[in-house]
Amino acid sequence: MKKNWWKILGVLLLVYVLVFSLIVPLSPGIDSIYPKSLKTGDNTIKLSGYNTSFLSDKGSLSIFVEYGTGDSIKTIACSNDVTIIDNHQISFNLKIPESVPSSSLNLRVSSTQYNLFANDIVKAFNTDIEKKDDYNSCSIPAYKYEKELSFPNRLQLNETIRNLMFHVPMWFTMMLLLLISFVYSIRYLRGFNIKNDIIANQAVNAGLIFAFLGIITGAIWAKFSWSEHTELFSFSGWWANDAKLNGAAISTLIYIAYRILRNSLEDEHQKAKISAVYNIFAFVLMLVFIMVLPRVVDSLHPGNGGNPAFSKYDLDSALRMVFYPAVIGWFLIGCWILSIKIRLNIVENKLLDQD
Amino acid sequence: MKNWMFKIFVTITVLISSLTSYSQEVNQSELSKTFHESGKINVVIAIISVIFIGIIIFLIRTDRKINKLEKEIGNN
Amino acid sequence: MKEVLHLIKHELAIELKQKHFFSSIVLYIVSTVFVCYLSFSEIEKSVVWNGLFWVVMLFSLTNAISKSFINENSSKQLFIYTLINPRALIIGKIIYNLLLTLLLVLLIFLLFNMLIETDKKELNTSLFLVSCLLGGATISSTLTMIGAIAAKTNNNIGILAILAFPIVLPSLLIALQLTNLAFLGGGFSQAFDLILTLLSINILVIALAFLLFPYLWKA
Repeated sequence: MKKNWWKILGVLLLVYVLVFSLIVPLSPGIDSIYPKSLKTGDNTIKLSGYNTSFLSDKGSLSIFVEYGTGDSIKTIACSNDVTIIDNHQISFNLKIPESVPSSSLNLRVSSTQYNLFANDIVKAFNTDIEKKDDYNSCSIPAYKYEKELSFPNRLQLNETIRNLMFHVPMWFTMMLLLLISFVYSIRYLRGFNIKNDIIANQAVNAGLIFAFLGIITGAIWAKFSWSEHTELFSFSGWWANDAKLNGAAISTLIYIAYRILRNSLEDEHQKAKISAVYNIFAFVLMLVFIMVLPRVVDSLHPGNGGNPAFSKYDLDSALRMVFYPAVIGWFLIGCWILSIKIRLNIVENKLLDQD
Repeated sequence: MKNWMFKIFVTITVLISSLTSYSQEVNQSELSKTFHESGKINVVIAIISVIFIGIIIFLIRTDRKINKLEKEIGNN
Repeated sequence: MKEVLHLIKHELAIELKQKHFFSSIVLYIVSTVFVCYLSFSEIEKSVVWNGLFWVVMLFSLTNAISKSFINENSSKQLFIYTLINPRALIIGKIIYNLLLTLLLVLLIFLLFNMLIETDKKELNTSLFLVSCLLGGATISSTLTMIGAIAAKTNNNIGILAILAFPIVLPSLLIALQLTNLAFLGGGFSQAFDLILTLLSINILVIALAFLLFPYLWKA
């Protein structure tokens, strides 16, 4: 039992992650906005919210159009002339000035209970972009509110933000296992101990499991958050031309090639040596590829370019509280799978030797 | 090996055909809607099940390997 | 160093003796480009032209370099190689393949430009040529190393493609980006970053080959 504490820890962490990632509510957010861009002058905007209770906010609802992040937020336009249709739908008028500081503006719905954000509302072309200190100064006070424990609610993403705890650790675990494989390949070449080769090989096998899981989960997630093709039974939309996706696909291909290489060699020591060489060569170039690729292809993933998924400050405390344990938990589970595979392989080899 | 692949193939075919027949009954857009309504929570469910299935497949494969090893021990 | 020079001379001598290999690869290139010509003849978008160009490059280079470790199986060849330091051997092979690649790249470049029309109004030819050569060089040194690995297996060419394509991709993508830039009329100052990346990948590949090849050789 003492030897197995880390497996138990891994399972406990994953149970914690599973429970908390599903039980923590999503903070109220904006489901959709129509029209999606603002133009100079009067705008009538229809907004539908998710997890909102607009009816109980009657009188306290106000709308702000803002620019900037953190402390340097500037309000460009505001309105408290809000028509509440039901708990999830409102419509309002906004007057946008002749000139705005940027083409990416943020919309904020504020009430006594919450702030709802919609980032990057693109303005129409007939507005000048000009940086001024003073815009239409708003006299409506913004409410301060206390944030409860909840996951951020992003446009497009909504509840699928919970996938962060399941999809992303797959890739982290895959990279960890491939790193283990790389290290043991080097160790094999230094001493030609066949045990190191077994570990390197099985780490690749275990890594491939996580790679496939990562690709499938990623495809499903991409289909329903980035894609415009919403029909379930259509071929389009499962793949996006995205740096991280392509990098993942390429690394999977490389390691499938590694498996094929191993299968096409017969002598045990030759197999070990040649595949170790390929493994080292491939791993280094894969790292280069992953570093280089984002410069060549744009990414839809967070932190790359202007995308409405989630920006850095969105990985907020609630998400972090679950995400980090998820990564550690999956790391431990990955190592567990690896150890099972290694032990099986060693037993297999011993049996073969006996025959 | 082939037997195992065949089983998987049959399972997948049956699953897909049942899904398609379901979609024909309900109407195509209705089914895809399930992934979009209520904040896309069904996408999360789909992804968790994929991971679950992945781990189950790993279990099955390990099971088969151990079976093979057991047989070898029995033969000796 | 002497060994390396000797090896290159040796390879060249063999090449000149067996002309059929070089002529076969030239024929391969000519016919591939001709097939492209017959199917497209004119490509309006330079991006598509560029993509096709690099696909042809990749396949021709794979075909050319896959042969570099094949004749090794003859016993005479093996005898010569046992006398040589493996590090000298891989460097010799890489340099020889670089020379071959430069020739082939120039050939593909000429043929493609002559046969297939596209919008070349703003093309920066010198940048285009430099990025072709650099991209070709990086691809060829990667392929040489993978070719050495693939030579150890039974079915050579198929394995080479499987092993090499995913690994070659980063250099291919950067080269593609570079030539795209050349088509937009970009200068060397804009391309400096990409050229540097490509060069460093090339150096990295050669260094890795230098480090790892002795293990392959002993196997």
